[in-house]
Amino acid sequence: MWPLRSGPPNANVQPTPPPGLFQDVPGIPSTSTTMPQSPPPTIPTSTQAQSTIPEEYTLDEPIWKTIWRDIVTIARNLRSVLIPVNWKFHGQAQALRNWDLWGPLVFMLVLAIVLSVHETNASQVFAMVFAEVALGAIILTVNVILLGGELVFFQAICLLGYCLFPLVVAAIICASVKTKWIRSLVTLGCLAWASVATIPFIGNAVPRGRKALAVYPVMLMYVSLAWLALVKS
Amino acid sequence: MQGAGPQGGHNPFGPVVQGAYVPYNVNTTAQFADEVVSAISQGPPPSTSFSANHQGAWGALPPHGAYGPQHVALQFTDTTAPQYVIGNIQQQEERQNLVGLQGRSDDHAAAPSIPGVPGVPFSQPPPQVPTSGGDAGGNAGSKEDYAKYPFYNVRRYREYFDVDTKDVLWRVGNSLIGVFRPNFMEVTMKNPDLYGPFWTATTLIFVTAVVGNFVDYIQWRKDSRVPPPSPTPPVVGRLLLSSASELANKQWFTDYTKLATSAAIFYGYIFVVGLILFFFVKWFKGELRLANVFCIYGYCLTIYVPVSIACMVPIDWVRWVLVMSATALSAGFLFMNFRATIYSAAPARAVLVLVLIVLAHIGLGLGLKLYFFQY
Repeated sequence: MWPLRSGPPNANVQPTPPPGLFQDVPGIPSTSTTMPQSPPPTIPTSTQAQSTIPEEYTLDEPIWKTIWRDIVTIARNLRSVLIPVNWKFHGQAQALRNWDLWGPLVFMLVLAIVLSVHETNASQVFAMVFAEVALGAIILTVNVILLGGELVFFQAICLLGYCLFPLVVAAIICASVKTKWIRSLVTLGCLAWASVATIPFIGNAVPRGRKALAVYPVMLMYVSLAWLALVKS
Repeated sequence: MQGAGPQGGHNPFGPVVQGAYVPYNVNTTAQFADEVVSAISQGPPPSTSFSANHQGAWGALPPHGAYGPQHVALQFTDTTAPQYVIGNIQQQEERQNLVGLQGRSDDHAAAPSIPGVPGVPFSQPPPQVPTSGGDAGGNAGSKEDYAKYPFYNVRRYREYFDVDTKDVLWRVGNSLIGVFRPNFMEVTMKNPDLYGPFWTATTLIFVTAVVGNFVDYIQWRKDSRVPPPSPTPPVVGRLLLSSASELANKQWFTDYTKLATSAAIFYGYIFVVGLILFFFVKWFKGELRLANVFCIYGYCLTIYVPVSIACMVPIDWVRWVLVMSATALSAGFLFMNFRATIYSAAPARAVLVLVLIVLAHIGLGLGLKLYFFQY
C-alpha cells in the first residue's frame, strides 16, 4: 500500500505511528501511548524512517490556524493587487499566481450588504449587486478571451474581485457620510484606484490594439457600482 | 532433347504432375522484371518435352538469347531518398509547395508499386504534420482556424470578436453619420463583430438607468426644495417627506421591472428583430450572415447613448426633437445598408421589407421616448 513506508507491510496492522512522526512539532502530545490510532497517510518525502509532517497535512490543525492562513492569503493578494508597487514579482501576471476566490467572495458580500442596508427593497438591491458582480466578472473574463487574450479564467475573476475592494471602501464611507461632495470625491478616488489596479492587467492580456475594447466593459461595471454607492441614501 | 529447357530452370523434383501442388516459384533468374511476374501468374510448366513449337508460349525470348541464371537487380523504390524520410519536414514542405495541396493526394495515388515483391505495394508515407485547414499552402496569415475548438470552448467564437479598437470606433462613427455614404455593409461583410451589439445594448441599459435616476433626483430636489439629507435627525414630517422621496428616488434604479424591460427592449430589438430579418433574407436565398444582421442592428443603436444623456434637459419638445432625429438617422442607416441586399434577394417585395424595417425602428424610437426618456 505505501511502498516507500519503512517497515514490512504487516506493520500497518499494528496501530502505532511511525517513529518520529510528531517529534518535529512541539506541543502536540504524543498520543501513541494513550490511544491506538492508525498511522496517518503521509506523503513520503524520503525512504528514511524519520519523516517530517508534509505541508499538505492540515487536517489536525486548529481552526483558527486554517482561517488565519486564508486571511493571510487574502491580505497578501490584496496587497499585491491594489498597491501598485513591485512587491517581489516580475510582473502583474505573477501577482496572483496563488489565486483564491475567498477574497472576491468576501468583498462582494460586504459590498452587497453595505449597499442594501437601510433600503426599502433591501433584498432586491442585494440581489442586484450580487448578480451584477458575479455575472460581470464572468462576462468580462469571457470578453477578454473572445478578444484574443489568453488568461487563466479564475485568476482573472480573482483579480476583478480583489479590485472591488476600493469600491467596498467607497460604499462604506458613502453609507456613513452624508455630505455630497465628500461622497463624490471619495467615490471618484476609489474608482480611480480600482481602475489603476485593473487596467494594466486587463490591458496586457489582450493583443495590442484592442486594449480599450477590453478595458471599457470593466470601467462600465466599476462606474455602475460606484454610482450605486454614490446614490445610496 | 531438353536443350533449351523451360524458363526458370529444370525442376529438380522431376516432372510436375497435373493438379499436384505447385511450389511457389520465384523466378530469380529472369532478366526482366515482367518475367518474374509472369512466372507467378502462369501455371505449372508442362512436363512434356519441350519443343521449339512451344517456345512462343513462354513469352518473348530474351533478345540476347541467353538462358540460365542471370543476375538482375530488382527494382526497389529508393526509400532513403529525402522525400520519403519522415524527419525531413522542410523538404517535404518544399515538395508540398511545389506540388500544391491538391497534388498531395495525387502523390499518394501515383506511388509506384514495387514489382517483384508480391502483395506488398509500397506507397509513400503520409506527410508528417497536417497543416491546419485555415493555413492553406503555408500562408502566414493572422487568421486562426477557430473551427478546431469544440463548440463549448469560448475561443471558437473569437471570429466574431476579431476587431481592433479603431475598427469599433469607425463602425460607431459610421452608424452615426453613415447615412450619407453608406458603406457599412461592404466594410463589415467579411468581418462582422458581435462586440458592438452586445456592449452597445449593455451600455444603453446602464446609461438609461443612470440618467433616469439622476433626472429623478434633480426633480426631487427641485420639487421638495429641501436641502440634501443632513446627518441631523430630521423632524417626523420631514422624515416622511424625505424618505418617501428617497423611496421614489431609489425606486427607479432598483426597480426590477424597469431594468428587465429595458434589457428586453434593447437585447430583443437587436437579436430578435435581427433574427426575423435574417430568416426573411434566407428564405429568399439571399446571402447574408446572421452575424452581419446583428452587427448592423447593434451599431445602429449606438446613437441612442448620447441622445439619452442629452435628454436630461427638462424641456419636452427638445427631447422629442432629439429622439426623433436620432431615430431618423439610424433608420436611414438601416435602410441604406440593407437596400442592396434586400433588392438582390427579393426584388419584388424589397420595398415592403425596407419599409417594414424603417417602421420597426420608428416604433423603437417612440417606445424609447415614451418609456425611458420621459423622466
